[in-house]
Amino acid sequence: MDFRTFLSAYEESFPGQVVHVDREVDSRYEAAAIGIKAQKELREAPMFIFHKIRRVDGTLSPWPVVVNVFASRHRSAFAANSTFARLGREMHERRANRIKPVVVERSEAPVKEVVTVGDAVDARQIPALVHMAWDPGPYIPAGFLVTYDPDTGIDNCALQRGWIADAREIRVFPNTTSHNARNIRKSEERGEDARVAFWIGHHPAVYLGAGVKQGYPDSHWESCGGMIGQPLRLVPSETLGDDFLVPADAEFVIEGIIPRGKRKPEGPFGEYTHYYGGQRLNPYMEVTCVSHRRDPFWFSILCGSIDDGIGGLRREGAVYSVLSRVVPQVQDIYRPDSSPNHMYVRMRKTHVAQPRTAILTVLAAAGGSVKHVFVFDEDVDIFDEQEVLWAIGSRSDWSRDMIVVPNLPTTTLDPTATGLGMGTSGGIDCTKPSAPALYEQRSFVPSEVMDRIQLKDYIPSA
Amino acid sequence: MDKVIYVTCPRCAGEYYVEGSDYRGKPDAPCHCPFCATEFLIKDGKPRPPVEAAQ
Repeated sequence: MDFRTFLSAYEESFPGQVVHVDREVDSRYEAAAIGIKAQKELREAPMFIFHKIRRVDGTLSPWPVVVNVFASRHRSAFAANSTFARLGREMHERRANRIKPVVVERSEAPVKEVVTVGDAVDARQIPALVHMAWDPGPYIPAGFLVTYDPDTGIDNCALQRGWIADAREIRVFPNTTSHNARNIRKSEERGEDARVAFWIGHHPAVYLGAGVKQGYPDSHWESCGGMIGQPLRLVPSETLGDDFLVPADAEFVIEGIIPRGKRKPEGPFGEYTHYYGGQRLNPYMEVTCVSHRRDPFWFSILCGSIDDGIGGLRREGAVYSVLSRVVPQVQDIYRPDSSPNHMYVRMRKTHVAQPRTAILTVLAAAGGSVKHVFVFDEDVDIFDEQEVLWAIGSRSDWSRDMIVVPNLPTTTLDPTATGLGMGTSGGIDCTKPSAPALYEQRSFVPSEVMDRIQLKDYIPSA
Repeated sequence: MDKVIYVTCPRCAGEYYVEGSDYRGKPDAPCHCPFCATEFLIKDGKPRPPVEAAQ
């Protein structure tokens, strides 16, 4: 199971949704511009495979670059054999059916087809993209940074940004509250350098499984297995020891050491919030090895666009698992593409207090990653932004239906947060009053007629 | 308290920002201009608001 098996199956089912670009495209801004324009101007953004990418040093890359894999939730659902509405929840549910990984020989690992170590390494050969105007150089935005807990040996990985600053130097941002940062701190407290690796490019279902929100320490390899329904194939690293395992079927693996206690400027970087995350004093990775397939695809995620949807899906699952126990009347939740800070909840309300309970539960369960919660009745399609805005406009009275909670934890990347990662959160109850209270009836065409009418009978091209 | 600190690159005059939580109180902390790759100390980048040495 790898990117190639996905590409083959997806392209066969949806040939119009995979666009091969054979003309030259510059890795500096052009690839990002094409991906983002497609997201804005087309009904559904296709994934692009750029076969002729000009790297930042002016040379042509021998390897293609893929973007917009996650720019369609339908595509992610296809990859995971799920549905648009259920995908976030299923990611979390499947994580519970943990399947241990298997370790294969190096000769059975496609990612070991080409291995470069030591002074021969030049990470600048990778066709990484410069996405946004303030980015200082080519970034790895679709790389899972792997660390192991020095106490238990349990793996952790997360999508974390890395700037290829030099031939053997990648400056990384393991968010200070992340489990990777915790593992790196543990190594530093022991007086040791931290062993880390990025893996890039795999079956999108593996990305979704690896990205699921977990406890600490909790193996992401095992949750990946649950997500894909089979053991994830791993292989020992080249330079970090045989106990440091990496995905055997990835397109690229970059290994390295984070020198203890040393920091360098990293960023700014166009983040998932659609703002630049400011420059920070962050750890950096001294690259010890780059391994890849003979004909690898380089994966990129266009941060700050809908291509960055994995983060939202992982939040949906983690929140739903708590919310559905506290408020079992909840039917669906959705983190919309329009804002990474929002969460929509659909429920069959049976008591006036349930929407408020739902708002507070989402805020607590999300741990600062959701700022605004909107709760709707079951007749509102929360996956349709027009329906959502209509319901906010017609079913909420903000003097009584709004909850505002100051000084809650929030991501430091939120521009409204204080430097301490605190901010105001809240929600709006957009549900109708419970019976026996009276409320206006939503207008409708009789369902018998709606079901009978087929557009293609009137518009042949429909 | 401002979350970010705007700086101006002493070489190319490009403007961008750094995270206040990392740089506040560290006038000798290094910055890297994303536009021209110049390395400079934040105190030399006209930081707004100013950074002062920790007491």
